[in-house]
Amino acid sequence: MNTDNPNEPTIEHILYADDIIIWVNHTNPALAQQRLQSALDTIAMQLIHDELRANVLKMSIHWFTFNNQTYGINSNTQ
Amino acid sequence: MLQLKPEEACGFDNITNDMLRHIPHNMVPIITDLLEYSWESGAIPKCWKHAIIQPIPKKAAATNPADFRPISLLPCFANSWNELLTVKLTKHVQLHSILTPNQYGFRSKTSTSNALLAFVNSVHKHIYTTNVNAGSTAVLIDLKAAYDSVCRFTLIRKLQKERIPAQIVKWTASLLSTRTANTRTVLADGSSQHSSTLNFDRGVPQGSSISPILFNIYINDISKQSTR
Repeated sequence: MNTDNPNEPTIEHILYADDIIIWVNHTNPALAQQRLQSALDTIAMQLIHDELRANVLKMSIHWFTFNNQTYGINSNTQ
Repeated sequence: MLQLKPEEACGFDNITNDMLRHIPHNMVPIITDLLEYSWESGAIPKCWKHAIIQPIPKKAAATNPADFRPISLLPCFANSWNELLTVKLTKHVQLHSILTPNQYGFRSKTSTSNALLAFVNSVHKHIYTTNVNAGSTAVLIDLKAAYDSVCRFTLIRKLQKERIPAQIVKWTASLLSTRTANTRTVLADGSSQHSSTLNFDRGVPQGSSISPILFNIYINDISKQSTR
């Protein structure tokens, strides 16, 4: 997922059994969101193809910033 | 056989690992012939594919079905045979680097710590080596009933695509077909009740040692697609 263009946000991912973590390191939030959305769309298409489903009650999104603050948004609280 | 753990629970046939460990020497050639026949024909006895599902209470005085964790018990003989196949398949997968390095689950020399370190290091390195505007956004996805959702046809196709030896694919196809199970409920007086037999036409078997490596191969495409 690493891109050759240094201006492009870097997208990374890991799989651990039935858990997937996908993240984007960014300095440009708008571009990062675009790249993340694109990667999530790709994953969604693969999950549909493989007849797997994401558990929306356990999905969450997190922001990590320079000032060491972490903001977590759990879909349960949306 | 001597490597089998004696304390493991047995399946519907009530044959324990301890019995298998103490099997008479004159039985060994018979069992060897049986296993060789199963391997060469790529066929698995139907009784080896029958599981007992035992609900284990997660807390005291459990009454709601959600308070129980189902445990799948397969015959010990089937488990020991699955273990041999798991070793064969895992060796092949490692030798040909079939799984992407982004997969950390159920692999030798990797653990949740490795996965977490990879994640934390990436975020930390980015934030502290770029500038104050740096940030990272992560999405955590959990797959619902992952093992039970595996499409067997797709899995077999993926095994073939990854050039897994035909004999292992054939054997796996047999392992996944015509699977059945009963639910065993232990009552307060110590007696037990069995449900009617259920057939399963989806998923990899719960409680089998080969299922994690099969699932890893199944979801390997997610990693491959994502790296494009």
